[in-house]
Amino acid sequence: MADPPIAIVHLPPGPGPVSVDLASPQHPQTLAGVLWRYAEDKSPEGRAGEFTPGIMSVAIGSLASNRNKFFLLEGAVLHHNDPAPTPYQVVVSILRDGRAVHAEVPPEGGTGQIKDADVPFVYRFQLQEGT
Amino acid sequence: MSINDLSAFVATLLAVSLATERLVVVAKTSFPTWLADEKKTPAQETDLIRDRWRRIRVQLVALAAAWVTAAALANFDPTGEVPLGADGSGSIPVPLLALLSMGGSALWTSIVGYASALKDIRTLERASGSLGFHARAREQGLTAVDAGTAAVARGASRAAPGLTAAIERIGTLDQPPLQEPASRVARHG
Repeated sequence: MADPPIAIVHLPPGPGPVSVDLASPQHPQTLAGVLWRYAEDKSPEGRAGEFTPGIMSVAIGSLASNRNKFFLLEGAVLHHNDPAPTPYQVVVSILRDGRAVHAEVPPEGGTGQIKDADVPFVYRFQLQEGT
Repeated sequence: MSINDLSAFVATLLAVSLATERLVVVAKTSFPTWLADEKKTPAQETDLIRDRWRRIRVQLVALAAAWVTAAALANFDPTGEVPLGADGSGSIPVPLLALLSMGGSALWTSIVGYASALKDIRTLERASGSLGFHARAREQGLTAVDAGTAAVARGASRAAPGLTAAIERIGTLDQPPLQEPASRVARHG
């Protein structure tokens, strides 16, 4: 079985808070999720933050404290018992100093249709220093 | 007057107005008591009666400044003609150009005010659009998040049926391996 995709996010060197935003800009939907952090050797380091409808941005610290670390975002699009399937698209953005450096639709469940059952999605990425 | 002369005329008028405005500013700075201090009513509005002579002085200074500036374009001949355009095919008398340009301050104030009003309108349009967006979101039971990312979540009154359970589940999850194949946040079954 092939390894799941891991996005490489390059952040320019320098200070500044890094945050992860979760949004569904094209098709408003309710999102929830949890962000896990992993060391460079992929060993677990714990919970980096949680996403709820009221908190769609998680601050994860600086590049210096996250260089080469991996992150796993486990999330779900929560259904509203829609009578017919409605489209959804999840966008995960990595921001530095409040400016988006990277934005991507999770390749695993990041887009599709939702009706009367929650739809899971997963997004993995690694932060690297670079331009 | 050809269109080229008109363009040259407007350019000349603007240039003389700008120069006049600067000269008036210099005069006001040099003699603030005579030229710059507006007479105010107790309500801090300009007293048009008491301020009349100051305004007249400013007008005279502006006329003099415009005349000097316009004359400079006519080899310092105060009654000469200012050539318009590179080929000098048209011209305008110095006194007339001075009269048209003496409103330098008012002209530029009007232009700045017009530009400022346009900017204010754009700002209000953006604010109105944002308010409208949020109002429409509320009408549909949605809560718009002010992040500019158009992230929208359902309002608490009409929360997703599985929201509470999902949040509880998020709180109890253990960290999985990085290669965890599927999200456990979604409710299954």
